[in-house]
Amino acid sequence: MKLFTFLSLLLLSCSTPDQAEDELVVGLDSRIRSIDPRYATDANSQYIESLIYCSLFEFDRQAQIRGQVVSRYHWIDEKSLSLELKAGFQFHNGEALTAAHIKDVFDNFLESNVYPRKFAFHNLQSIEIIDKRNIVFHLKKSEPSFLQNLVFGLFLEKEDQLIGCGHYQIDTKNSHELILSSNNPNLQFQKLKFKFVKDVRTRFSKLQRGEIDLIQNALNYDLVHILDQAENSLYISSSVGLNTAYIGLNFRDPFIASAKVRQALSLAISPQKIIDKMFYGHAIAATGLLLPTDPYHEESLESHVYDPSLAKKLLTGLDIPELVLAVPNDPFRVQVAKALAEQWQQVGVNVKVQSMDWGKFKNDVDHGVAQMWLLKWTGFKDPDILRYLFSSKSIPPDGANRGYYQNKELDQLLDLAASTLDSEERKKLYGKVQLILSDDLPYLFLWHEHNVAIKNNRLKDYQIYLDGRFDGLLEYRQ
Amino acid sequence: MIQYICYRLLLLVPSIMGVITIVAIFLHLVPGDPLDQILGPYSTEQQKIEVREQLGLDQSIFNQVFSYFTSLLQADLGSSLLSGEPVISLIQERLAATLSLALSSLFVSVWAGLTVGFLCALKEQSWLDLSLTSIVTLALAIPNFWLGPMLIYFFSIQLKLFPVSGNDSLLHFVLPSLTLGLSLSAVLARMTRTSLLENVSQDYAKVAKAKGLSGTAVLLKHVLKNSSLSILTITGLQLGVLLGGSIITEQIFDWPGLGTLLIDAIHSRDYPLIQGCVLFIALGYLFVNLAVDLLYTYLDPRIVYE
Repeated sequence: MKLFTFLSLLLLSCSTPDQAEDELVVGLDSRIRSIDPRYATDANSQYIESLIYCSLFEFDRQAQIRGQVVSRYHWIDEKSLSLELKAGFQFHNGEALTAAHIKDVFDNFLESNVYPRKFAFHNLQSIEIIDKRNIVFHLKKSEPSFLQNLVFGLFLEKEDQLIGCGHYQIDTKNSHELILSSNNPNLQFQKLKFKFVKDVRTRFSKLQRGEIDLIQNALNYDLVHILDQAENSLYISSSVGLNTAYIGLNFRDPFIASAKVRQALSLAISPQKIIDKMFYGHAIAATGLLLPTDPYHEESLESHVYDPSLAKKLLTGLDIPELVLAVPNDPFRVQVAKALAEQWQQVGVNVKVQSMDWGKFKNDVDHGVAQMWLLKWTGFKDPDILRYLFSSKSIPPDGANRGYYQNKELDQLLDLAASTLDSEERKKLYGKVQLILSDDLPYLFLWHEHNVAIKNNRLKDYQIYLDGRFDGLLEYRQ
Repeated sequence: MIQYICYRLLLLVPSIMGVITIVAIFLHLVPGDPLDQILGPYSTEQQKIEVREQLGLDQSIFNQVFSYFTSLLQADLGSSLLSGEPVISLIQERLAATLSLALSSLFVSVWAGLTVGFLCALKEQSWLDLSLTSIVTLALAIPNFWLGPMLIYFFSIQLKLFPVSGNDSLLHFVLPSLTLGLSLSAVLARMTRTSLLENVSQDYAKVAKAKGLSGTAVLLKHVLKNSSLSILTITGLQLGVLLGGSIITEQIFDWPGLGTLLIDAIHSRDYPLIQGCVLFIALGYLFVNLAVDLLYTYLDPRIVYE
């Protein structure tokens, strides 16, 4: 009895402290791999980067590029970009941000090959300082999308520590938590706690219990639906996100290499049915890689046609082997793959769903072992990604043309578009590219998933940025 | 005895070397490239070649294992391929959480297991024995991935008594310790009951009872100590399992332990981190086994190690 009383008192004395008003807890589904912008390649690291570091350019709510540290810019010629810096930006140690600092950061990339994000600067020739507030980037060749690469956290490196220039400073970082703090009185939250909670049910429970204030894009759609239907004090905001789910097709497979077969595979599936049943409406059907709101989206692209009888007709007389659809071992994605396989089954195509861990999946897809695979591209902002995905020069290991798709006309259009500065001309070229892809079907584009934020009443009116970053927290006022 | 301890400690060396070599071979057999994780999706082949060389991943498995052993002799476990942080500090960060959860779960397991086992043996074939045995069987059958979320639902969401997850305060220990400890206590309860009942029919117990001692006193003073060897063996094995980190329970309760660190490292093919975690888990098992063997001599002086 004495022991019971002692334990009860001990437990009560250790109860969880109340959350401060200016503190916000965000639940993450994966670890923040690095807070060093040079190493940050995973989504969460990049989403958080803009809270700690300022950058020359930034993406606005609709993922359109705009100057942050840069007040004005212009292309001197097709290979030289001139930037004028705003006054008043400073690092967390009080040192003013100058053109010299910027040169240091980017020169660092040119020196070493160990930084994962160096790939974005392979075209950078040199940096010329004009004066404290003016700087010129010289490129090896024309690259209109280069501005997007400059959405990159600027820092000072002192004694192996990175000092940022963003709204928040790093308070604590360990493998399961990152705490950012700020002294800026204009911010609604002075402290942001990013907690990595791997299990989706636990994230859900923590949100219900009030231990987490915000979860964005880290809750299964069925759980979002449960919250949506139930009476509770949580708010859900859902809007189209910058991602595209697709089925990749391996052109080295003789059956899939047939245009008729690819067309039949496309006609046999109904992405809309899956959107309705499995995403509960939190997605829109895709006509291509780019979102319908993207300035480069080709308007004449037709919506996906679901016609199982035509699919059956196209397959008549063909010797149909059993196909394999590879999918990473995320239970939700496996269910989606099974739903697609069921739709193919109805037109007489047997598809075996093979789920595997990411390492094996990537290995199989990169090496042309996978026949078909289900995946999504996320966070891309420039149509030049199409070159990386579909140009014959991008066949692994040189890019992500993992289906070994080749089309000379497409290659020429992609190369031309990649070096065209005039946006109207670029739009025309990418329009043609999208039409070719819609005919050739190297990918079966499925849907664009919504950005879904679930939040409590402290963030009632919070909206996610199109690319899923947390920058909405910087603007949020209640 | 000291000679025996030295002998057992020396035996650790080939055991650890064996474990590390086997793990290294299996890791390299599994498809997947750590550079995909390190350099991200847009890396070039040239970048991969340079970084592979820099990290020594271009060497043969034999060379990699050999250089790992060489570093190990200098107490260097290397750095995580992914974060670049020293493996030893990543493990240290998790070790306290794993140890504390292991001990609190063991406390639940031993306390509940011994109590239930003792009561069952004391009231053999009574309604109490039957009911407790049924509960124990049920506890054995309930998997942690079901029990954990159920405990969260009732005690955190409905009753709001305990936090859902994390390890910030003592309250955070309750649900994960119960989840881990209850299923382990079921094993211990069965073992305790069986062992006590076996010993209670021995002559020495009958004599003690004939002298007028109560059933409880016979069990506590005479039988329990003689039954403790098998109980200790099971407890030692359980502690070994707990020190290895319980991946499912750690995930459910967002517990930053060794189990989740290891599983994440496997997913990202972070070889030095996997080796480091395996090394610590293997050492945990080996030291617990050694401690159990030494405790045998204390509990039963007839046991002598030469």
